[in-house]
Amino acid sequence: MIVRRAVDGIDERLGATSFVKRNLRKVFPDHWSFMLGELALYSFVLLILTGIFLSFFYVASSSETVYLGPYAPMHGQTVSQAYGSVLRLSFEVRAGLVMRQTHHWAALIFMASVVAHVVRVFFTGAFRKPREISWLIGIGLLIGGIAAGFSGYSLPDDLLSGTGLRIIYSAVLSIPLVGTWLAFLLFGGEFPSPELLPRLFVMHILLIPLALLSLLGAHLALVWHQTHTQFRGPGTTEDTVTGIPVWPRFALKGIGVALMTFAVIAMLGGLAQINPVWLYGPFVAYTAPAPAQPDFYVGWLEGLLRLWPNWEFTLFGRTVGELFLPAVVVPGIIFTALALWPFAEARVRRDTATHHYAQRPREAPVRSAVGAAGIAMFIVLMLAGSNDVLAKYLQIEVDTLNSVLLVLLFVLPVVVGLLTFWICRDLGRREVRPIEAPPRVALRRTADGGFEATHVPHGEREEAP
Amino acid sequence: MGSADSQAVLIRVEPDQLQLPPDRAAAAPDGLVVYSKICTHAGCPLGLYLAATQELRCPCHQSTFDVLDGARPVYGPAPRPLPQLPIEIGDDGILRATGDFTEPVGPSFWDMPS
Repeated sequence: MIVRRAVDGIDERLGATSFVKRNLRKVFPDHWSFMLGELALYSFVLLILTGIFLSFFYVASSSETVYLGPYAPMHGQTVSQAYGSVLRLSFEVRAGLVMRQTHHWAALIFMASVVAHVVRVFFTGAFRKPREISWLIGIGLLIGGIAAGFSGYSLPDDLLSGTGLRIIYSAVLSIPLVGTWLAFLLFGGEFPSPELLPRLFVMHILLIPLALLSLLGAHLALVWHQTHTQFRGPGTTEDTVTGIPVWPRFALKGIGVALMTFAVIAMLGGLAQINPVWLYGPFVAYTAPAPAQPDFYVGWLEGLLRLWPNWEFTLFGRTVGELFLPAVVVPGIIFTALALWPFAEARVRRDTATHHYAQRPREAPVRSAVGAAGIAMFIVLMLAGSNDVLAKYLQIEVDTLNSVLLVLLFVLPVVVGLLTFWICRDLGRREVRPIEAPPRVALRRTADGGFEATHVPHGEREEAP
Repeated sequence: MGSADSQAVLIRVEPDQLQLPPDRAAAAPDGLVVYSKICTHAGCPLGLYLAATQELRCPCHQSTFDVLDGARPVYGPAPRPLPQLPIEIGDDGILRATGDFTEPVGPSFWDMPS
């Protein structure tokens, strides 16, 4: 009765009933691969929730303080207020450590699901017209996610993160003409400036999340408006969507997946140690940790820096730093190529049609080959980004490992690409002549108790009498 | 914590093994040579010393510098040698810098005086 009155009240004022009714009946395709984007969304929600908690305790200041907390090895040491506040979060704040670790794990799972989602969309051609804008927004989310992750794990002001910041500072510094100015603008002066941490904090908890939220909203709105792609199946056509309605099935399933995502990430945060900054120690300018690796979504960029030759050249009598090509130009080319892929593919194929069917990878062998080659390259670069740890495990010299990885960087993508192309083409050929369906037979019982068989043409349905 | 660019590393080597440019030889008395500790690649502090080969190695991207040969880069992505800090041994036995680093410290940049 109260509910009814409330609903009527809202309807009288907003006229929302027809809108809600229409949208609750909206159909969502039901394929497991559509869950990858959902996982990204749910881990993002968890990131915001845990992030709000962390922001209550984090102090974005590099002014020095003497650590007098319960962590004995650091007792009496001079540390920055930022580092001290992270130690306090980890050892004194109730549930602080589990929140910190859950936040970090959620960031890793967010990025992993974003990457998996991009890969899914790429290999199924779901980016094709009319969904190119969703693709561009998705690439924006990928880049924004990397920025969010990097700015986040740089905040504790520990030795590892300080080293990462110094590398980024050097990369910005290497940009011709504007490098010095840009580096000072971003970092608030020469590294490590006291302006840096407050600036990084505002980027991490305001600017980047705001950008991500806006992009995410636009992304979801587009999915809602344009509907998902779907695979060919019974009852599907290019123009109709089959699947499950938003209410109740999709919504309840979504809530279930969200809660399970929260549970798994919280379990990781509670049980699996991550980024133990108290073991790295506070940032100091005279030393760097060894071995040192960034998180996985930055790992391939780090690998690029480690494998790149020591080329440095002069332009108009000025120096272009070694870092400019591997840290600025090459990642720029990779992200631009990724963003423009849908347009390039449509142009090469002379394809101006709209597509609502998702393709199977075998239907586009060249695209699948390029995608697989790209993944191979990404993996080699990621291994190169952790070459110090890898060399230790394999008991070989880093120099030897680097030479092997350098060869793999060029050979593996070609091999993987050719193999993928060959497999896709072979699978595709088999589909040209699919196995013919067996003839359909209808049995009819005759009056004397026997059976009479009649052939039924394909596509017709035998109605029950 | 000190300025990030002023970090330096002091190494004692056999004086007759040291092969510095003639104008910089006097700046390393008794085989005591001081180099900038900031890598010319991406600015990481050179935390690793390979004693057997007398090389400084960067833990970030494995750039390696030959201590005996004026900190010339011998491996990895670093393009320039480490700047040297000229020192003298005072009459009181205390080491003093006699000037600034021989070159700009850290990674190269557009406005770098060459």
